[in-house]
Amino acid sequence: MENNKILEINNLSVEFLSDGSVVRAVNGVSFSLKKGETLGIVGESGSGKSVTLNTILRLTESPSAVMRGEILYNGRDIFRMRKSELFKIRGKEITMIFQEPMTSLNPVLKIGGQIAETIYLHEHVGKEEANNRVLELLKQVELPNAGKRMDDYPHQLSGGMRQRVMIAMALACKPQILLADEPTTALDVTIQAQILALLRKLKREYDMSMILVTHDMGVIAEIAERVIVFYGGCVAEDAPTLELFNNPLHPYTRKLFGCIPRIDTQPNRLSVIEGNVPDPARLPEGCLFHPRCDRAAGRCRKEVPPLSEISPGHFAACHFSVH
Amino acid sequence: MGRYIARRLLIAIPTVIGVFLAVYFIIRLIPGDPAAIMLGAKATDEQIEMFRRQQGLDEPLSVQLGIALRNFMTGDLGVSIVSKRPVMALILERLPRTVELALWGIGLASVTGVILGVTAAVFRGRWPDYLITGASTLGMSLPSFYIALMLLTLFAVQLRWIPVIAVEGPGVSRFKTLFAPVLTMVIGNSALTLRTTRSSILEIMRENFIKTARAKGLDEWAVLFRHALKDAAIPIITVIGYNLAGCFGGAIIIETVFSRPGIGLLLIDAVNARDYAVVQGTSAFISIALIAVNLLTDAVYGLVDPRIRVEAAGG
Ligand SMILES: Nc1ncnc2c1ncn2[C@@H]1O[C@H](COP(=O)(O)OP(=O)(O)OP(=O)(O)O)[C@@H](O)[C@H]1O
Ligand code: SF4
Ligand SMILES: [Mg+2]
Repeated sequence: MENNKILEINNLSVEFLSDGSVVRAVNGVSFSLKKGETLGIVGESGSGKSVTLNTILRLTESPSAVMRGEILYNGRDIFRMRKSELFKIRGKEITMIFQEPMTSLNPVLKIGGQIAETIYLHEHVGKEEANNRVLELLKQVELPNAGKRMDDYPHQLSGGMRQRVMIAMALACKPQILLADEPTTALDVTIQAQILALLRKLKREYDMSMILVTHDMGVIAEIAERVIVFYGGCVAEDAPTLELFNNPLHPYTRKLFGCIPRIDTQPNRLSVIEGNVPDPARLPEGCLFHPRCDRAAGRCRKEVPPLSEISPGHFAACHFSVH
Repeated sequence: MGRYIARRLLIAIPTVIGVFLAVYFIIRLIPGDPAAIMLGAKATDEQIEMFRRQQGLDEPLSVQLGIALRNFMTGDLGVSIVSKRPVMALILERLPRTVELALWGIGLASVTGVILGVTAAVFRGRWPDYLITGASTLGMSLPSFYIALMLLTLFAVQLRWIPVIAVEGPGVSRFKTLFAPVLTMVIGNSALTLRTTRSSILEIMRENFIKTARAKGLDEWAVLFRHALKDAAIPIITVIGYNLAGCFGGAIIIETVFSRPGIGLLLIDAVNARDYAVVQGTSAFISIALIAVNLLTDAVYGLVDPRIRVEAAGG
């Protein structure tokens, strides 16, 4: 059972030191990704989803960032890898597509060249073969007029097309894991559905594992086999998708569902829950959710609830979660 | 692009005429009659009167202006009253020296500026950054005549490496005539290029596409040179164009201090001698050169920034 975990994150925390205050963006997150699995991560804005995903590839590294914990990729801690090893994993074994398709491509380079760059970097191929591969990739991501588009610059493409290019780039070296950080949030609704369908298709064809971050419970229901609910840089709940939808245990998850009457209706965005998202520079004591929780008791204000397995495979971090 | 350039050229015509008119009146506002200056203090009134008639200086200003403007439009810049040679010939004779100074000066200033700017950005917040930005503040705040005088004192007077008058001759190689004037230009012009390079690279390194480049597996050097520097090229080229346009003014000062007979010195000598035709012709020539440099900068933009290329083709 243990061996099929391709990625295992243990007690990850990420803090940013900015203007004398400490921004605690991620606070002791643990979860794992199985080989071939699609894992969904949901949570409100600012709950640390992007920081967590970026940290898997050490993209948050900077003089002002403090990172703790372990990120085991096939059993090896990414934090302990030398730069040269890390550079071989980035873009080849673990790849990422970002939340902002409009600004994620270099505006002064042709898109074909930007994809080819990844191929040249990780494989010894000639120019012709690289070009053929780029064309093939652009066809796979269903970019209209792929042959002509290779020589286009990013500004000649719409947001949806740019995200397709990003996906092509991420797939270029047949990765083991695809990290998708809200790949559709910035796009039109119709395009969103197309991109999601594409990701689902490609994930199967490429036999990858995938982590998909989203605001959208509807997207989770459609794609993810398991869901992790983020709150204030912590895992509030972690369960198989169907189980989570049928039997949400954490009061926060329940509130999230309070906004979606039924799973099979129009997918809604997480609508606003009363109260504010916790400020990562001034996190409350005890359970991070207590200022907004209807069930909060005295204990909640002092003790941090641990993430515990309430029923097999279903984890929640609440003092009062019982099956 | 062709239509765009044509439009720019059309706009340039009134600009050049405007410069011509401004110079025409300003030079005549400077006290001092060319005839009196030419003929010296001992000249009689009669001699002066005759000289004025010969040179057409006795005609009403409007008539003089009309003739000058008509000649200018047909490419005739007139004749120097000092050397009696056509102004165009004087300019063409002096031009290579100024072009040589400008190209070496701005070329080396740009290379130095970009290299130091990249270095400062890479070592941001550490001592090489402080050293480089500190030195650039000094380079920017020192006026170029002061830099030129200091270098002249050091290299020509103290060390005697270079001649006081920057003209080639026996024992004076071209390098020796160029060295100090070019260095003056490098000190004065690299600072802005350096700062622009540093700040654009730091800004671009925060962009999302830099994160994409890192996520591909590129190392920091590849991210810097294959991505960030290409994007920084646009602001850097703007500054280089600006420096190149400004260096004509700088050349006047530098050529004067180093007694280097280029266009700048030609202009200054002509002003002192009230050699109207030469002042007029040289300044018009410099303004045309400025416009040409600006056009060139715009054309180069299109080469490095694909977004501009499309707009220009569309409009
Ligand atoms: N480099 C940084 N320096 C300081 N604070 C940061 C940095 N990056 C992220 N943060 C902060 O960390 C917190 C978590 O940000 P993150 O981007 O992970 O949120 P998110 O869950 O992805 O939200 P969204 O849904 O809006 O994308 C935010 O409060 C953010 O302001
Ligand atoms: S621990 Fe307390 S405050 Fe936190 S979610 Fe559970 S009931 Fe609410
Ligand atoms: Mg995010």
